[in-house]
Amino acid sequence: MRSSKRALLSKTRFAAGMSPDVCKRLAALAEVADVPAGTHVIREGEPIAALGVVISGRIALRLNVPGVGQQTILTVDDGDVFGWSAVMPGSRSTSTGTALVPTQALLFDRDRLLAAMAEDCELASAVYQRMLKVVARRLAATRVQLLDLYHVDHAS
Amino acid sequence: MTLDSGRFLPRGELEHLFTALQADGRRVVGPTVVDGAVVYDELTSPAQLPVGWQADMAPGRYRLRSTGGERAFDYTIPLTSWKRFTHPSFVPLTRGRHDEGQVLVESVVTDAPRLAFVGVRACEVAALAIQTRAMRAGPLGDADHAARDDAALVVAVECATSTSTCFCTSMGTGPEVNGGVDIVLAELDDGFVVRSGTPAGARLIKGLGLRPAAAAETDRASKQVAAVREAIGDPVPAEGLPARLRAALDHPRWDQVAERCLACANCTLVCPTCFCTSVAVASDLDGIEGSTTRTWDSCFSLGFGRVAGDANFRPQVRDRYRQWLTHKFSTWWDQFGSTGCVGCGRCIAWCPVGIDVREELRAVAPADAPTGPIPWPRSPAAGRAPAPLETVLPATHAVATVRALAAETADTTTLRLACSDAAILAARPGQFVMVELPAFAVPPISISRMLPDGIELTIRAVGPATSAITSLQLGAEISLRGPMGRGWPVAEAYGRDVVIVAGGIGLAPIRPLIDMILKERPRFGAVRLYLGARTPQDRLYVHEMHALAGRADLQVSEIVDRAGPEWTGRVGVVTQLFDQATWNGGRVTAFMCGPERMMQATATTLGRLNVRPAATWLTLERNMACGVGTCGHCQLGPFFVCRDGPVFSLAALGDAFGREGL
Amino acid sequence: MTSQPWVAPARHSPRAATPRRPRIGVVKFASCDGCQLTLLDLEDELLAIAERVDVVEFAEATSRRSAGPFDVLFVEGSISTEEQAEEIARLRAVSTRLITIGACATAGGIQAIRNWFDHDAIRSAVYPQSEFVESLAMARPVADFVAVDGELRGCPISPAQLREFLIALVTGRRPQLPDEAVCLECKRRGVVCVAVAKGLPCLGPVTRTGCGAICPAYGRGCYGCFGPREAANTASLAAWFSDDRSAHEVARLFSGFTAWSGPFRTQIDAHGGPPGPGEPKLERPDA
Repeated sequence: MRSSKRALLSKTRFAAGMSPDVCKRLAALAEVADVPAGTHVIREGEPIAALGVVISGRIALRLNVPGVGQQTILTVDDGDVFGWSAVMPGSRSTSTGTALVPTQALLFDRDRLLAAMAEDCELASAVYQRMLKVVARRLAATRVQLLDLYHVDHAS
Repeated sequence: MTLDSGRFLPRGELEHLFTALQADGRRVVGPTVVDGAVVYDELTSPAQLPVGWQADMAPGRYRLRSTGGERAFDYTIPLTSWKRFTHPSFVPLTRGRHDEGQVLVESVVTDAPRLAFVGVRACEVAALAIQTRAMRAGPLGDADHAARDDAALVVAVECATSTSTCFCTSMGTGPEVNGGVDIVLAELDDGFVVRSGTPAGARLIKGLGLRPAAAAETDRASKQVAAVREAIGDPVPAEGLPARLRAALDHPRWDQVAERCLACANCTLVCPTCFCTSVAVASDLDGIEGSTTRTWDSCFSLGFGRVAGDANFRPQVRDRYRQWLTHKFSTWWDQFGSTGCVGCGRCIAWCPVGIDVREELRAVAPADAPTGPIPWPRSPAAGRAPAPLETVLPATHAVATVRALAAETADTTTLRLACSDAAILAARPGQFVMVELPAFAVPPISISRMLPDGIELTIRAVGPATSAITSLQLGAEISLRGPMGRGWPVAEAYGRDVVIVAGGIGLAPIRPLIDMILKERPRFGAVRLYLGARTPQDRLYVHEMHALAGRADLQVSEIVDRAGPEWTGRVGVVTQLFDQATWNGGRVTAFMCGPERMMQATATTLGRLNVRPAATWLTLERNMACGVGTCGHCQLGPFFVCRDGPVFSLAALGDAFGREGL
Repeated sequence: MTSQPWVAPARHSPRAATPRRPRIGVVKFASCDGCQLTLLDLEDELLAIAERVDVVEFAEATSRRSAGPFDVLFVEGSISTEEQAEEIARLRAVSTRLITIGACATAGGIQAIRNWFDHDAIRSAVYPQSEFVESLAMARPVADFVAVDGELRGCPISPAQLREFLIALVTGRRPQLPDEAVCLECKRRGVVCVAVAKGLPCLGPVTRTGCGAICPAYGRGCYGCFGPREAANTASLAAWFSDDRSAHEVARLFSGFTAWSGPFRTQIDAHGGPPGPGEPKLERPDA
């Protein structure tokens, strides 16, 4: 079980550049989850149980807009992360994550992960670096989405 | 042709010159005093010339002073410039009729009057030549200007006086008249030394039967003009100015002058070389008979840089002043191979708050200012000779018929048009047409598909004109002008991998490129298509793109900015489709189209993947009134987006791409 | 800046046979009437226009009365009384498009100069028995009270612009009402600039075009009837005027028919306020 988790993790883009040893230690903290389509992996406003790395499939991150409904503002594909704020103690999920198709993911229990990171600096460094990249990429995307560039003010 | 040796025309016989010009079937236009200024107007006799008047000009000031003398041409520079007659302020362009689904638009051709310009200064001679190059820069020129220019006979008068606003010496355009005119006069107290520079001029002079000018007379004439040169000095550091200005786009001086500048457009309208115009639309009450007129406009007007949806590329006065000065003294060289300014000084005098371009130039680009970094490479258009006169023809208008309409999204419609016009049928992917419906403004629209018997246009209804066009019925007619612009250089991608990035309505000009690539599929390596849209409901050509995605020889990925719960595709920005790609950018030729900010992000991402700027092609949108490079609206630095583009490589654009307020 | 209105054509034809003609109203508040008159001055087109629109309220032209609803309501005059403030609110509610016409409606008009002064003092200076006169402390543009869909500026409005507006309304295209300086009109026409050639103060560079540059064509400076254009750099122009004028004189130059408009008002305030009641004291020609 452990070796297949490590194999799965090492093949993801998430683990690119990670030393085999760190990868092994990280994989040990993971559970493989098969998420059926339509299942919520995280819920907006709730404490996050786990950090997730998608092996295959797609998770939609959604925000509820009263009067409009659930709006998907980002999708997470292979090698990408959901529940990144699990690495920040006490945080709650900023969106609801729903599998759009049958999705396989590696889930890292938040408490176990944080405990391991507190002990293992090398592990912590590898995780934080990658979380920062994920967040940076998302921030850059969000800014462009915010500009609503495709929108044209129709002459009134 | 250089000038011949001189003859002498006594003052009392100036009337004979007028008579000879009139006998040549010409109306004489020359200087006369009106409302306290010298202007150019039609003259019937030399008695109407500004005899005994001199003009004292300073920043924001013009005063005529009577000397009581007999000389008629000492007024230096009048208010009017000759462009009033070669490039008039109101010119009818088209007449159109739209009645029960049938449309016909035709160009109005005004007969150019045969005129003789009397009193043309050296700087103005240069200005006429400069404007000719601008109006005939090819491949299509301005037919009205060409006809008027060609029908004018030029009688120049060399300056014997100057005023404090002159700087022709620095711009290399005067005060001596060295050729390129039909006749040159040098005014002396008792008459004129007369030389001719063309066969037409020589013929006219011969008919006057004048005696040769005495040595003393020609000597006095040359001393006179030399004294003017001495008096003016060299106020502007013109040597190397274009490069220094190019490097000064972020100089704080632009903000400083913007505090004084009223953006009133006076400088551009008195300038003898400024040629920017706009098109005014008129119609009868029913919108059946429509017409368009070309009017003088200015880069200082707010609407000049406006595009669909009220976006504006030069919202601040600072942007507009910078555009004017850098165009006149720098990018004009890239576009037409000469200076745009002739140093006549009108803009200095007629500025209501006395802004002096010489002072501004000395501040923003002094002789010791740096010449780099260069924001954009030299344009290939530099030094283009004017198109031959016989190729400058009135615009042609092709009638097309609506064969099908498809609503792509809530506000975007694709029209399939049947057209038999050979030029339209020969259009290339990436070109655009001007779409004419009488009584409405004329928008430039990219061709979204070429067909054996017509074209398709995908149009977003953002205003009255585009709404009217997309509301046409089946079988209705519409008029097209074009095709225009440079298309996608498909051959650049032969033997290479292709990456295409299209955002929103940007997919429309890309579609004919995809058609062409698929038609010659074996000539390309891997082909990857990345599509972005605002929401799933805003995607174009949904079924077509779905079919493309099913092909094995193509990779299609799409993403939307946001979606509702029914969407199972990707959500995010289009760059997320490939920013972590593993393909080798060195083998890629990329083509992209979408909102400019999106293209900037795409360009950066592609660059990180090692796609070379010379191998990255994009298409730009700007305000276009003529589509052929003569109205001036679509300028971006040294480029005319309609003529040098709209397709450009990133390498060619350099820093002009995405620069604020350019 | 208010956007220029246009009427979207029916879906399948640019000039669909509309089921009914648009209902037009013309109403007046505190104004001289000149802008409404411009409608009637369009003699040549008046009949043709009347065939294509349904004028249901236009007291100066027809005894037909209507309190609404209106497809397009033209409003002349500034809001100067309590009654007018109520009426404009009522009219706004029954109008699909409300278009202000003229300097009074778009900028407050010449009467807005009273806005700088004490209300009671002004009333007493003008009316012998001011206790019978009720008015608001200020005469203000219509847009201060209700949302406005478009405007035709001028004092009075330009017949050419009105014609263009009506044609645009009927054909469904955008009216071309350029927001550029009067200077462009002068130069296109070939009018000699009175500011540069005669040193006369002229507001043309900061005033919106539309009148055809009438005043400069007759040798006097523009006094801003059409109000400030976009990017009106009145500070720079005021600085130029100040070179050989007192602050009081500079303020007076901006205190015209559109004095209350932002950029003009700013300069009036910066130069000590507009001329007060009783100013200037005019000399009799034979004195």
